[in-house]
Amino acid sequence: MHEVSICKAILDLLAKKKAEKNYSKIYSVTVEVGEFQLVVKEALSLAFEVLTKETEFEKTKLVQKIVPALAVCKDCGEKQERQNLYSECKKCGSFSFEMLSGMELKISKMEVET
Amino acid sequence: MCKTCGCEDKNFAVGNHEHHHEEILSEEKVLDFNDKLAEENAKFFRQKNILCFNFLSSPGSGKTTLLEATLRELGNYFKFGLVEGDQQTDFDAQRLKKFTGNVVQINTNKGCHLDAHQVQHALDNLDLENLDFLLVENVGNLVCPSMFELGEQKKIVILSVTEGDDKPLKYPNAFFESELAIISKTDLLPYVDFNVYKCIEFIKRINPKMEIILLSTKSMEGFDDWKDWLIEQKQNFTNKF
Ligand SMILES: Nc1nc2c(ncn2[C@@H]2O[C@H](COP(=O)(O)OP(=O)(O)OP(=O)(O)O)[C@@H](O)[C@H]2O)c(=O)[nH]1
Ligand SMILES: [Mg+2]
Ligand SMILES: [Zn+2]
Repeated sequence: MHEVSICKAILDLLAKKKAEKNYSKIYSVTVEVGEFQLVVKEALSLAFEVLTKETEFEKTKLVQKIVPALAVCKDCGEKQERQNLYSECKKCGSFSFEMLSGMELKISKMEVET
Repeated sequence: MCKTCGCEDKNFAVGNHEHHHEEILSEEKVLDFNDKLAEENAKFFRQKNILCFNFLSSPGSGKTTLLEATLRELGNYFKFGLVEGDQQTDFDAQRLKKFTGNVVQINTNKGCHLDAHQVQHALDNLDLENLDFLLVENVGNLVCPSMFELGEQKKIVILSVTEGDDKPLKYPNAFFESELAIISKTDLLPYVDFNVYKCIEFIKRINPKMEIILLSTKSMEGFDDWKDWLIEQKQNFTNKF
């Protein structure tokens, strides 16, 4: 349900960028969503569709890119992709990790008309 | 319609139209607005020497009951401020007002979490002079609130034994983000199949550094551990400055 708040945050950022840089149109926005981030793809798409209806972003396309969760084991140093937040190190069985990616939620790209 | 960019200019064939169609790369965090306000809150708390904790749990795990017991047991020694987040009603704030007037209720209505902006406004209605602890009870929901920073020093996740020992793995994010896990309602352990060791093992898989306290606000077993933890936090925090 927080996808609505997230969607509003995305739209606020788009509106801000559009005004700041004087874009006449934003064709698409790409959002990178970490594998472990709590965002349901379909819910965010639906929120985007509903919230952009009859607004300047009605035709803007939302692209969601899932970013795999890469982590380094703090005990043996092995770099690996984790399946979930409780998966163990494939090499040594440790649960101590430094997450390199998989928690992000950011706008990585926009296609605009300048 | 132009097939390259979807624009509606019919006069241009694919590929040879006069658009200034640009790709802009960015690194903008979607929740940047909230994060910035949370950082403002955090800075304010540091200046005022206020320790702020954000309580996360599913509905009914015993957040408000723990806050009541905390005010009852420690209210004479420390000054508390409380922020109660619920979708509807001010029931929880009313319960706490029996112990202190320094309580603000936030109703999020359809919102499933508190955000930094709401907390900032709540601060306007609290007496912050010489405040020791600001305890924020988030909306009862083990999922959404963990995404939204409020400016707290630490998140505390509460799991009651009636919810089942597998919940950390089912809802790992709240456990990943928190620094203390409280396993509550331990007086009910004889009546439920809740394996404490298994639960702790699950929590440590997600967060090997997690501190863990087991307590009951009914029998008050383990409550001293919580009291000691709070006092220790206060001492460490004060010594930092
Ligand atoms: N047996 C037992 N019951 C408890 C304990 N702590 C809380 N409860 C009961 O659990 C129920 C819910 O407690 P609350 O403190 O309202 O839970 P909460 O997490 O604040 O709930 P929400 O704010 O609605 O999410 C109440 O009926 C409490 O009396 C405990 O340690 N032991
Ligand atoms: Mg409550
Ligand atoms: Zn390892």
